[in-house]
Amino acid sequence: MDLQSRQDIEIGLFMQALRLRHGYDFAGYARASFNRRVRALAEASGAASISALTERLIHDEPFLAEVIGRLSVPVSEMFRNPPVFDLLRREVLPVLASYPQINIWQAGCAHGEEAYSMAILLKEAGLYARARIYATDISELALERARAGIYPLREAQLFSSNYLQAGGSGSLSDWYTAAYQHIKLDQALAERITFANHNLAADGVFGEMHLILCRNVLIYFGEPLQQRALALFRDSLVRGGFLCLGDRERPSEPRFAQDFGAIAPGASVFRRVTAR
Amino acid sequence: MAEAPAEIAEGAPLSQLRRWVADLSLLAKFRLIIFALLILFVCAGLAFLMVQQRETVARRWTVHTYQALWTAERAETALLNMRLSLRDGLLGADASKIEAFQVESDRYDALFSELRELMRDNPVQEVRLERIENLKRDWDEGFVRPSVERLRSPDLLQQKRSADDLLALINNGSSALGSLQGELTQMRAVEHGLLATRIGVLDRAAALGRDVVLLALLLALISTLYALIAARRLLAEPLRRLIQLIPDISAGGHAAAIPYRWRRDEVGEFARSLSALAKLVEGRAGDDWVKTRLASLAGDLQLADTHEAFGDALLRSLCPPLDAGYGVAYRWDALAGELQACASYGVSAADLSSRKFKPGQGLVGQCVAEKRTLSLSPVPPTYLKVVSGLGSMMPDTLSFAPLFSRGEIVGVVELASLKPPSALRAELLAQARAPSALAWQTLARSLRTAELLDVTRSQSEELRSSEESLRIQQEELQSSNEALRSRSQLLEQQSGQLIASEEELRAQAEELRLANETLRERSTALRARQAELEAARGTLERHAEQLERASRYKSEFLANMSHELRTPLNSLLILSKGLADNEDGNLQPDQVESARIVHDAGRNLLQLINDILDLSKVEAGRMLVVSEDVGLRGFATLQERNFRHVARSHDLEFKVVIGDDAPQTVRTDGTRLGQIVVNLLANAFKFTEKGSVTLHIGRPDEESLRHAGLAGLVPGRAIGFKVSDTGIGIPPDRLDAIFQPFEQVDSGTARRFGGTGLGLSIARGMAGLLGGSLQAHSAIGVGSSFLLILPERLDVAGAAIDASAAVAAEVPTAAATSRPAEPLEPSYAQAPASDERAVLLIVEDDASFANILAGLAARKSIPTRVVSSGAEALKAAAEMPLLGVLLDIGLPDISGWQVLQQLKALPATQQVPVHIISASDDLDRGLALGAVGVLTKPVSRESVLAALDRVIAPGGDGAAAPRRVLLVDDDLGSRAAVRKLLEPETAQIEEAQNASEASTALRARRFDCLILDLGLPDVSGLDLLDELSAAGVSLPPVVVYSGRELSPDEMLRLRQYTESIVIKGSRAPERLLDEVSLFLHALTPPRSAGAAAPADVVRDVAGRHVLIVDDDMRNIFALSKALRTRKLEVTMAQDGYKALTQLDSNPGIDLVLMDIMMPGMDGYETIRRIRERDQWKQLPIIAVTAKAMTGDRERCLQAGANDYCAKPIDIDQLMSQIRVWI
Ligand SMILES: C[S@@+](CC[C@H](N)C(=O)[O-])C[C@H]1O[C@@H](n2cnc3c(N)ncnc32)[C@H](O)[C@@H]1O
Repeated sequence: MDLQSRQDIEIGLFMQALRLRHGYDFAGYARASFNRRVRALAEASGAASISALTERLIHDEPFLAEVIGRLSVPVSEMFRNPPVFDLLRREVLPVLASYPQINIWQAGCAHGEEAYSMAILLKEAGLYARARIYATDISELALERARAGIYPLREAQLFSSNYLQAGGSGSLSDWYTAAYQHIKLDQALAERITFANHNLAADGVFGEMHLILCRNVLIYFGEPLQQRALALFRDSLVRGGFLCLGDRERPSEPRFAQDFGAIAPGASVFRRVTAR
Repeated sequence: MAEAPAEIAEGAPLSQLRRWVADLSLLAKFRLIIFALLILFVCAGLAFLMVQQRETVARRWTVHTYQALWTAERAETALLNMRLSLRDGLLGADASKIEAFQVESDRYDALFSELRELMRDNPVQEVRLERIENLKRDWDEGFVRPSVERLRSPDLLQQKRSADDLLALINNGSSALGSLQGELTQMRAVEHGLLATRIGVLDRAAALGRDVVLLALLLALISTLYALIAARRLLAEPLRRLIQLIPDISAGGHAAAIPYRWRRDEVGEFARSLSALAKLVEGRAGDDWVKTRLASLAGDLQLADTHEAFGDALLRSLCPPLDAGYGVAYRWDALAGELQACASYGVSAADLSSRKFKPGQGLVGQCVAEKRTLSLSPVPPTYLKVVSGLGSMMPDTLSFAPLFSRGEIVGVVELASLKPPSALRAELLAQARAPSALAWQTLARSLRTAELLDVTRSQSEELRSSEESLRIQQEELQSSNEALRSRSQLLEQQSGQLIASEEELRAQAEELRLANETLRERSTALRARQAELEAARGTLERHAEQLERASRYKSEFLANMSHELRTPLNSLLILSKGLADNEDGNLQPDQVESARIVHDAGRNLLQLINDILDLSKVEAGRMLVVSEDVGLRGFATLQERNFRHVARSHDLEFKVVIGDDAPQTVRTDGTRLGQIVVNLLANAFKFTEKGSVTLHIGRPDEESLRHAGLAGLVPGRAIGFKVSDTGIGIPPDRLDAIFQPFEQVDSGTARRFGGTGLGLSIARGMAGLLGGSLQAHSAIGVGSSFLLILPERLDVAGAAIDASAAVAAEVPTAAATSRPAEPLEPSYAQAPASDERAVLLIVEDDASFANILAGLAARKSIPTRVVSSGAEALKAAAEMPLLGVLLDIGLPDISGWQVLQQLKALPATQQVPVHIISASDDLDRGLALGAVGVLTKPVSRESVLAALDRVIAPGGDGAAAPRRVLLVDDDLGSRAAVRKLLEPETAQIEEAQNASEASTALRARRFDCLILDLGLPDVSGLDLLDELSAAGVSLPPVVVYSGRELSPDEMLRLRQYTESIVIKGSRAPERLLDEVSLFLHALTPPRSAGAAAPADVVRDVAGRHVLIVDDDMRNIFALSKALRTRKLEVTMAQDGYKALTQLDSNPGIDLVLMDIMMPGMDGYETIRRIRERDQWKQLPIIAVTAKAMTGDRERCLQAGANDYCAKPIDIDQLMSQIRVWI
């Protein structure tokens, strides 16, 4: 038996162990990407083989956080893909302003960059006081970093230029202080952000939302799991609520087209269609 | 180069022209020729025409002259004839000749005038004509006239005699005529001269014409010839030459030798293409040459197997074609990092190895550093010469070509060429670089591989020996494995023991659970009992409430009744008094007595009624209290005076004493105080037969104050009125009873002493109203004392009731009791009910109100008909066409409902709009039965007018009734804006600018949607909603349109009524429209009135109190609704902190449903905080969370939750969980 198929068996067993031992089911993930993550995990944690990894997973309780942390891909930027934020600022926020309370769900928040970006948008629009941002992720490690709101100084430049491209009215540096090669975001931004663990593959709706951002998360999922996540979003959104997906994420299933319409042709922001 | 301008300058005009012609395109050339010929023909034609013209003119002149000659001749003839006739006449004395003369004379005149005409262009001849005329005149004078006269004279024959005279006459005539003739002849001579010149002109013109034609022909011939020659020179010849060149070109190309390329016409183009073709052919040949060389080079290089052989091969292939006299090849030595000469051509190879260069060193190194071929020309004379057997030669050019393969330097080739470099040779060198570099690199690699192979071979040798030693180690390992295996067997045994102990543990746990279960059962039983108790208490409370309500109803009834009774009694008393007084003196004494009895009885009745009224007012809390300053001295004197004569008549002592410590005045309700004290005194006198009655006013003592149970009243701030007597006394067990209404110590006493027995109840009630108390002390046979204690200063706000409330409470009663007496408007004569005219039917049994309605209708010029009963109404409806109906419900015969139903049942009156105006408040029933609106009495003028509007112009009819929207906003502008916004909805929009208007409208009519601004001037929108829903008014779907943001608490409150909340802003209007139209187009209203509790009300948890903690409104409301329909009591908290406060303020909470994911303090933390408090250690908490994984459940339980429920919530499952934990 060749190396490849042996490894496939190992990964299958690892996945099963993860589900049975900790309840995390990754079966719905895009297979190839998941396999890579597992291999990377094995390498990073110094396990001789994936089976060794499985063993450790079963017996070493605190290891789970690291496993989940490494299986997920918590890469992000502030104001990533600036035109989307510009669109949110121009088209979506004025509508949200008509709700007495604005609930925003940022699913798959990684290290919180997007949640803070959203907070800045809201602050600048004067809507933050009645907004709530729920930033959720599957990885506890990522959430920890998100709560801290500290990023390497070298990223600040990119963040700033994104911010300006997104039509920011001031300077991003108004919102952070730099020290020791890092920037720390203003704590006032975190005031109305709730960072919480939520697994799109297993958990349910937790509240009524007016805007949901879930960018670059569905790409890691297989078709049925994507559908599940979209159903969650649909059930969470109020009539006329907004859903913002990643640039590469245009679900093709007919149900999606029935429930959502893009707010502008080609835009990655959708609106929950009013059911009449 | 220098010759060309000279050449052009030499033949400048011609060659330039030819060049220009040659440059013209073919078509242009043809055009030029044809154009030139055309011009030629046109010129010739024109010249010919001109000549012709001239000839014509000349001919005309000739004719003219002929004419003149001819005329002159004829004139002369006429003259001669004239003379002849005259002479013949004269001579023959023949008068008839005169006729012939006359004819000739006329002809002459005509000819002469013709002559004159012809000569007009010739002045000389004109003068001559003048002269001829004169001569003629002379002739006429001298000859003609005398001759004519003679001929005419009658004595012609006599005159014949004088022949000489006659002759003289004739001669005379001849000489004159002769000069005349001479002139004419001269004239003809002149004309002849003219004729000759004119004929000459004519001839010349003809000659010119011939010349022109000949010239034109000649020119045409010449130019055609020239054109033919030019065509041959400019086109045929060059083309032929070019075509001849083609085979040459295809053979090898002489691009430079192709003529005519300078020309700009097609020939030039052709030549240029040929030249391009020639160049191409030339290039191809060069390419082929290069390729052949390269191919042979590659072949040679492949054979080499050492660096030296390679260098040799390279140089041998390159030098001859490149005309290089000598060459050196350098190899790159990667280890040494330098270039090393390895082969040479044309020079001795002896000292090659000493030639080494680092990159950048010398020209060899330099070309490597620059990565390009370097050339040097001319070569300095000190440089090496190319030597042959016959001599030596200086090379012309030095070239250094670096060889790079995949970016790595491989070697350098140095060449010395004898000839200057040509493009082709440079090309060969350039192209040879890459393949030779690659081949060289390949060679270097394969040499290196061979080396490595040697090394590996020796290493494998070493390996084989180490394997040997490994095998030995393995054997050792195997033996230690054996040992391990036995140890693991031991372990297995131990783990078996472990399992056993685990089993034991599990058993223990089982037992424990059992014990727990019993405990739980017991506690459940306890709880059940508690629940029963609770239920019992609930029933009790309800009973108490019912009782309370009943007594309130009673008081109200009494109040109403006595009011009604007093009115007739008034007249009764007045009339009976009149009779009893017997003022007219016409009654018998026994009749008077009867009348007095009637009067007394009436007075008693009135007293009773007044007392009942007072009592009921006191009991119903409707007694009006005003506080004023009452002077105690004055008060005492008044009482003394009032009762002095009673005391005297009963022979009793009466004392009024004011204590020293008493203040001057007290602040209280004087009237009520008087009433109480008078009542007490009257009682005292009534029950005392001998002894004394005393009224003592002063500070009460500590003891009695305490007894009075008036909290907060100190002796210094209170005043006491004590009435003591020495009467029969009251038995102690009856002391309380005397204050109960309708009770006396014994009924016998009552009969003996009269009185209603209500006095003391009223007095005590009033005392209470005044903030004080009334107590009694008594001993049978010794006497009684009643002590009234009041606060010195009655604080109205603090008193049991204040004036405004009392008034407010009293008003509706009065309104309901007294019929509206005076009409607001003068009576309106009823319109006679004509059969055809449709009328508004007013059904109202209260005549004055009916009158008011009719009056208002008349204002709007609506014809009316008023009826006062249901039967009449139906009759009227059958008799006449109706505009509409205003309908009262409380009618004397059948109820208004029935009337409405019947009207709606009859086809004729089905469509007639009916508006109900009634005291009944069963609004929905009327609307359900098809009324267009409902008004509750009492009504305002405006509301009646609005009702009239609605009846006369009801909004649409039948099924397609427009949707109705109530718009509540205090700002006119924003109402207008919303109205505009909703235009496309074609809804009927009614506006209200404050809460009370909105409330009236909502109570009166059904709406499909309510748009509500929260900030209203009177009552806030939120309070309005609370109020309406508390009053049981069924609300339409509500859309809140607010100008300000909302606090979380407000949102929570609002959420009970609606989810549609729109905050004003730029994009708000579109959302408002969206929300409103959702409701307007909904088939069934989304908020169906709370469905009746479903069958599965769980008895054992009903009435239990649950706290829901969740940050999400939707969840809170969904849950609380579900729980409420199952008869649980629900309290909500939107976050952890609020949950803690709610728990603090509601100790009765039985269970907590706790959301986990919340902002601020999350669910885990909140549960932990709850568990920190002792009294909540046992409080059941069910965690409710969207998280569904195994670990999540554990975390909840760890934090202290008793159970766990995953979202979305399955309500049945949650209910069974609740049942388990309560
Ligand atoms: C590439 S990041 C996207 C970050 C951010 N949204 C952006 O677009 O820049 C993907 C994130 O999704 C999270 N993720 C992956 N699977 C998830 C799941 N089942 N539920 C919730 N989050 C998940 C990962 O932890 C990771 O942080």
